[in-house]
Amino acid sequence: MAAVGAAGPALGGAGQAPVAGAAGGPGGVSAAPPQKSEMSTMLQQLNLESIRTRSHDLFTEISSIIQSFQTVPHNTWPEVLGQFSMVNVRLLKLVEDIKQILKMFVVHPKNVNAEIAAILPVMLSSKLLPEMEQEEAALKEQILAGVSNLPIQLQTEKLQKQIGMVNKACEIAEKALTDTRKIYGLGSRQIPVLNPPLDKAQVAKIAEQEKLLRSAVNVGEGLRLLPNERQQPVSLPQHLVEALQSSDGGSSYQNTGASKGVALQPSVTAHVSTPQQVAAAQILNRNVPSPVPMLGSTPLDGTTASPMFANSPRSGNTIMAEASPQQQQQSILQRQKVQQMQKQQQLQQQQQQLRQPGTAQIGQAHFQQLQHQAQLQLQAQERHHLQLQLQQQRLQHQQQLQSGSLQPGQQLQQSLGQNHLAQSGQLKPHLGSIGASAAGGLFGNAQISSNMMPNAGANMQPQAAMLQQRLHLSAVGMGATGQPQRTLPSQLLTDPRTQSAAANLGLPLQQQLVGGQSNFNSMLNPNQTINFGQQRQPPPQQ
Amino acid sequence: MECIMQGIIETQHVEGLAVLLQGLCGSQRQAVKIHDLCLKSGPNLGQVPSEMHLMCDLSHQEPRWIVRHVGGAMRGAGAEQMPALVRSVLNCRISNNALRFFHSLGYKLDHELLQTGFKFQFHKVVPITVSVTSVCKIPKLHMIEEAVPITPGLQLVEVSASTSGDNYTEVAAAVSGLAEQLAPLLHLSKPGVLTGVVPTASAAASSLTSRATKVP
Repeated sequence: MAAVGAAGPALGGAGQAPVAGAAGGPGGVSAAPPQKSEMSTMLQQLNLESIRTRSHDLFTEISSIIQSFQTVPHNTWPEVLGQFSMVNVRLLKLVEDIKQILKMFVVHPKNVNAEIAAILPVMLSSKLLPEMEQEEAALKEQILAGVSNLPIQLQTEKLQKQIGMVNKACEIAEKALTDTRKIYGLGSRQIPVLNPPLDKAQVAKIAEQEKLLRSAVNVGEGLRLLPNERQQPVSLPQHLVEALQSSDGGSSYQNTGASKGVALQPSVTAHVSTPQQVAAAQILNRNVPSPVPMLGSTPLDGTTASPMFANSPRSGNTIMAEASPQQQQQSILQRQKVQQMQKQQQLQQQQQQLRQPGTAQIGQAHFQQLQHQAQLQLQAQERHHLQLQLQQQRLQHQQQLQSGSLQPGQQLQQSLGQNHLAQSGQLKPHLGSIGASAAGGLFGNAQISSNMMPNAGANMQPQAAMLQQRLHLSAVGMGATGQPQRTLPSQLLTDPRTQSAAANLGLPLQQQLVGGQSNFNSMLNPNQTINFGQQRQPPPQQ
Repeated sequence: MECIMQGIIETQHVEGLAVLLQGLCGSQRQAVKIHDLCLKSGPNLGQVPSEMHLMCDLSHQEPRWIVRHVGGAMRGAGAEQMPALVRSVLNCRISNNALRFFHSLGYKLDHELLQTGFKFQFHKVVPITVSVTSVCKIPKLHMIEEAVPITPGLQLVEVSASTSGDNYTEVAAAVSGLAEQLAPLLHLSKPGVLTGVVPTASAAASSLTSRATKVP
């Protein structure tokens, strides 16, 4: 009550009253021994530390509320009253706690009565409890043991030195602890770099390795096996075994290997142990040519063959030096025969390859049909040649009889030459068309014909051009439909008009025709090469 | 199209990187074992030889074959400024007779390599894959058991995300953002651009691995 009374009116002195009350607690002396045990229990109940903290908290809170009057202008009165009520509650609680105890220790005039009168002087005295006195005395003796007899300044100096030494010892201990902590990496989050920094040599080495790795991954450098290292694998990994297994036990791979007899490496033929290994080797084997090798080795572009043609635009210089038309006719005859041979060879080769199941399974049936057509066409042509020859010989004889100017030998040669010219002229578009149709069957005739048309019409002279176009159309028509139109070219050639025209104009027209046709053929070839993929039949060349 | 960045890391720091990626990703890592066969077309298939990759994924019970074609990279001033490379790519699952098929088309084996390691799948804006692999060369034809790492001390890190023509800037930003998070351990760059190793890599890796071992 005394504390409450003190705290109530004087806010400024509020802090002091609880402190005084607290200080009075231990200061209050009760000398009576029977009360000592109560005292000790009371002391325990007192819990001085908590009372101290609580009173201190109350003090700070009250002072902050007072400050808020100045600092927070828009503090509403109800808020402040609320805060005060909080503080009040705590204060009351605190006081209740110590009230009972304070009776023992604090003298209040109100409480003074006869009972307490006996021990009042003890309570009012400020002497320490005997136990506390003894402790203090012992401490003093300890500290001032060596210096108690010296003057005060020296004593203070010595004491300060002692304090300094103790501080130093503490610092050293702290440092030692942190150092060991660092070394063992315990508790500290920032681990210092224990590895030395990379020196230049190491950096260079790493850069080199990096280059190797990146180039290997992105481009494949350094991973390609040399041809001599590409040996047969002894045993393939499981996934490759499954991958390289074929439906007919790998026989297709072996067969295609055998048919490409031209450029296989000897290792492939030597180790024909398992089909998978052969297949693996063939996948590697870059020397193996494409599935349709050209046994006839006819060049795809007409660059090497064209100088043989008369009046071919590519051969301007070389042909002029050639000998008489007789030699030309003979060479044309030879070429025609070679053409036939090549054509037959190619057809046979097609048949060979198509018998193997591995390749060209897609258009096989279609291919066979075209083959058949081509064969029929060839046979028909051969029959035609015989007919043509007969007809032309008759015509020639007529001409000779009419003109009567040619010598018999020359006549014969000329007639022969003309026969063969006609035949070759007839044969070339046929063969060209067969080549186009056979190989282009997979890719569409329309494309080829559209390519042919503008080129055919480009360089020709008007007379030859007309004939060219007719021949061309008939050739395409023949390629597309087959047999029925084969009579057209022969009819054109044996047309008495063209024959007489040819005879009147003399040989030059025929030469031009041949030359024109040779142009036609040589232009056929590049067009056809563009359109064809693997299954390409090189068209016959002159 | 894909957006890709590549980097290298020393083999000794790979575990630290794995810990970091695990923390960033949240899901478990997946093993990677890919036998990559690079096929080049022969002269009969056009003027310019084309390259196809047949990748056999051997990390599962059943080997899976994938055909992959890597196209040209995006060009231009914008592409140069981007930290990641954007290039056209085609990936397709294919049956296991792919090798025979390509051989019959005329493709020949150019080189092969084996990649073993692990990868993490992230989901930041788009699915991003981070793979850390050791690239091995195969000294004898198809003998992957005898594969030897090209660079024993270095492993390859690839951060890739598939993108389309209209969102590649965001995807590139996401990829480079992820790359920045890996900055203490490695530098990432466009394929073909050399980076070198990061000097803080060892400290970062050791701290990552030490923390990992502390967890009971």
